[in-house]
Amino acid sequence: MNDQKIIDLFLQRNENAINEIQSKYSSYCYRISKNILLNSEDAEECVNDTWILAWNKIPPIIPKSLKAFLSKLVRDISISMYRTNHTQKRYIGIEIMLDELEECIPDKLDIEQNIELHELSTLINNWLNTLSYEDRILFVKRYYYGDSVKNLAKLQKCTENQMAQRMLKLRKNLKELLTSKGVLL
Amino acid sequence: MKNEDIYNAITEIQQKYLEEAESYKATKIFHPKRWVAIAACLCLIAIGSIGLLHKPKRLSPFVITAYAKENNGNLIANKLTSDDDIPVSVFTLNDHSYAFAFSYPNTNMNEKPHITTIYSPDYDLDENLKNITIAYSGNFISEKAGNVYIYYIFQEKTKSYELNYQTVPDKDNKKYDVSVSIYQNNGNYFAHLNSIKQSKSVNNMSEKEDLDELLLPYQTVLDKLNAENGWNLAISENEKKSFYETYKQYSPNEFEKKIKEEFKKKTIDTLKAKYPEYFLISKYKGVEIYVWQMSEKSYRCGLLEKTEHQKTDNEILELQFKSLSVEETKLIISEIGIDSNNTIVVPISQPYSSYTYAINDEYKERVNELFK
Repeated sequence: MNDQKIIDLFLQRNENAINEIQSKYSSYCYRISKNILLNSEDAEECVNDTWILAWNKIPPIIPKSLKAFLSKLVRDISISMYRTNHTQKRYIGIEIMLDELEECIPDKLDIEQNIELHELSTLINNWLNTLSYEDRILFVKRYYYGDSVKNLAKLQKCTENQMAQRMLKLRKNLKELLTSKGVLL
Repeated sequence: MKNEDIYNAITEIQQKYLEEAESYKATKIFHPKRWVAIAACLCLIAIGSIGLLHKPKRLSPFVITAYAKENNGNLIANKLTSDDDIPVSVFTLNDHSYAFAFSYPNTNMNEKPHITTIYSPDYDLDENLKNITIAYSGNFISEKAGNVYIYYIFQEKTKSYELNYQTVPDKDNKKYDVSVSIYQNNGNYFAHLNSIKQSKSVNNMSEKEDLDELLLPYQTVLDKLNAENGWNLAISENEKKSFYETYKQYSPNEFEKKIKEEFKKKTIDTLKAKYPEYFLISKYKGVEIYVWQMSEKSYRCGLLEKTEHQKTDNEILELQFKSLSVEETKLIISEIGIDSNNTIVVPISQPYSSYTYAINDEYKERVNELFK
């Protein structure tokens, strides 16, 4: 069933919508959550929560891309899972990812300074557009889909160390952008 | 600003970047130019499921083979792995739909190859056409006994496909859920094994239906006993198999007798634990059954050993705290072995019951009837 038909089922409050997204997107959502949490059971729980959240959000939201919408939901739920449980459990995937992203935060930026989420995403979107095709792919794969540096190295047929250096360069690049824009914020 | 803010901002990145990253899959093991997506349904040569270039990580006790066709027309069979992306070809069927082909060995399938046809979610076809397509699906590959062949059939070529499949039971009756992603890159298709997990449910639907059918005569007996005695006996879903194994040797009549005995034994054991004093009543002295009414159709009883003296009000009052149903009373009397001539039924009223009734001759007779 195509996505538009599935969205129509959601709008009609037809519970088959859940079955359809489950059969179509469960492995996709599971992969994202598993990459983020590195915990199969919790990833499965996040995926199940994703269907419930999608049911509650559509309508009023009518996503342009169901797949992208579900991926955003599963990312949100996965980080919520991390926030709730990280004192008892270690979620190595997201911990490494958050540590890496911390390097992007400009040093001089006031820690209390509140940047609106959409402003920050606009900055990141514009920045992605300036990157080379492969760099953009790698950044999105690493920090959106949570693919490990090891897997990305395998994908690019380079060593893990080379890939880690490449990611470091990308983070530095993002930090420079945020620093330069941070002055204006 | 926190690292989580950047994580959240990344969550909001544009859809086009997500799609771009999702569809990008570089591979240098195979040379995509060597592979073509063919547009013909031809007789092809099957090659055994042997990995050509690398040893994949084993995810399960079996190997899934993905089929592709080189541009010289040769059919190539590669092991599907979670480590690499394996080329797969689009085979065109005579009804102008397309298919990807996979197979795996199953020693349960000794007599003939097993064919499974899976349709993509977008595949919109009536049942008659489906049968035609299945007939053609056998023409891809010379299927061999001992193998299960999976044909994933779709109507429109798109960028990616998700194939979720449950294997047929192996010799240990285990089944596996297999998830495979197929995506397009530069006009060629590649398959990636996402996961193989043992299915949670070992009983498939046909087994369940078979079992329900086998249990039908026993269920009829239970329904009859429930209706007759006001019991609530049922076979729980989890215990159906063991239930059948336990009782399959009995005919329905024998089963009824057996269940009655079991029910009686179980009830007596429970009553013995709850009211041991009732089982100390002497069968030689006999018993006085005190009966009071709780509602139009509900009677409760208490037992006291027959004595020369008249029972005190307090002794009778105490009975309401260890009251029995009529059935339970009969069971206890029968278990102790008291002869019906050695029992006296005494209708009474108890302050515990708010039901009002007059104890006259007619009422006494009605209560006596309960124990005949």
